[in-house]
Amino acid sequence: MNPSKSVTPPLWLLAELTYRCPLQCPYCSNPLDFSQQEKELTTEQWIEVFRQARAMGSVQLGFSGGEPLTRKDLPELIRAARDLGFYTNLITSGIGLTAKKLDAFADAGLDHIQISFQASDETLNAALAGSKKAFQQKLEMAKAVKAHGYPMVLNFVLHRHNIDQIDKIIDLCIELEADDVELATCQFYGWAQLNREGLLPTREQIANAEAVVADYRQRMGASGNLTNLLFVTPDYYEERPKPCMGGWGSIFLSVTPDGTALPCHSARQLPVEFPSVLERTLDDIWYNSFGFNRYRGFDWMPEPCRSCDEKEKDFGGCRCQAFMLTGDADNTDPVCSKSPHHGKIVEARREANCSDIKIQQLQFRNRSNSELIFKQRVT
Amino acid sequence: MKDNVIPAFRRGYRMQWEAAQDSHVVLYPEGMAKLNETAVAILELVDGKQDVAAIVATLDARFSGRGRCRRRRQRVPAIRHRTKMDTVS
Repeated sequence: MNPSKSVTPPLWLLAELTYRCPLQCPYCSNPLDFSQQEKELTTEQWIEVFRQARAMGSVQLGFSGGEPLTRKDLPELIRAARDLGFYTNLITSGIGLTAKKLDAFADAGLDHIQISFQASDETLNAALAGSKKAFQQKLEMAKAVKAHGYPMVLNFVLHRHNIDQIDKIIDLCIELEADDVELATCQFYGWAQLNREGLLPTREQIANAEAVVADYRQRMGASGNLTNLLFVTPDYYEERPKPCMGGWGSIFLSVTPDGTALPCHSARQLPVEFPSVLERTLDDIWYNSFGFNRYRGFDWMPEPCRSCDEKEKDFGGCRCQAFMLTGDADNTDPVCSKSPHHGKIVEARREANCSDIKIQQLQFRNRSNSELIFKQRVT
Repeated sequence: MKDNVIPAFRRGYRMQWEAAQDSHVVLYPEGMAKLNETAVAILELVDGKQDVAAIVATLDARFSGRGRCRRRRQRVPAIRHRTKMDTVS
């Protein structure tokens, strides 16, 4: 049980059901060596995870991956989670979705569906997703989701190759009658970090996109359109870091396909050991494990965070980013201009200004690239 | 809201008791709003069958002597699913 009253239950449970995915997006946040991790929890094991999380007070459950639709037992998992009282969110590319499956999910009690798009037009979408058929399928499924009466969130990951089409992206969302639109500039983890130079937009691109979004908000507001546009700027153009996951081990708990429990989806890369749900109870993991307590509170912080009056606002930023860019996960997130490593961020911005990397030159997230990366690392 | 309107939760929104929060909450895509007692008293009557006049009458009977309910109508929390995991209280 909870040894300290200051730690609250994980309100969010993210179930990464599988790393299998028919798409190959070069900004995927999955680990680079996903091809080495083929084990997946069984239906019963997942349901046990849901039961334990719910008993602790978890409320929101995200079915994610990889592509969660590749799990044949998805309706069963949805039903079990819903019966436990979870609010169930399906986070999908829409590939593999059919009207029949939608019926089955609705019958099982699915509450909400989020579909991700790569671009607003077929050609660019195909180039980014590594699939020619994906775009039409997504359009059809977005319409089917609306026809079912579901609230629909459309998610576009923005980067230097599609951000200039943001007006067309918003037009498409309005046409599809999305309730919410997430226009999220990609965050640099996993495959996105590998491709950073070919993905990070320039400051000018970001400013233009923000102006377009502001203009649309005004016009949509005036015409009574209720679609909500959420624009997420990349932290690479900020001077203070984001309060990652609302604080380490604070509200978010992610479980990987093989059952590793993580305080955020990319924490597996850190030199910190994280327990498996097959070996310990979720309650024990959340409250007592070394990994989940590693960066709770403020005592772990070195300078400049330790004496910073903003530490309770941003918790020193993102541990994964600190690790990737400085080699030490304890360091201040280099996004912060107070960080002695902030130059790394400035350098990335400079790279973005001169980058001429084409889409075709990006490293796509697929099995053969993943195996190649793994081999290079081992040898 | 006019008296003859029948309010209802739209699909994707639901109210439930959360023991861990020690309160009723409204759940919606990727978020949750904690409700105070007033909100619960009102929203429990939002069942897609009763119109606003019936809801107000029920509340008037239940809270008679504590001020007319017509004013309470304005206190129905404006629940939006804009902010994630925010609270309305």
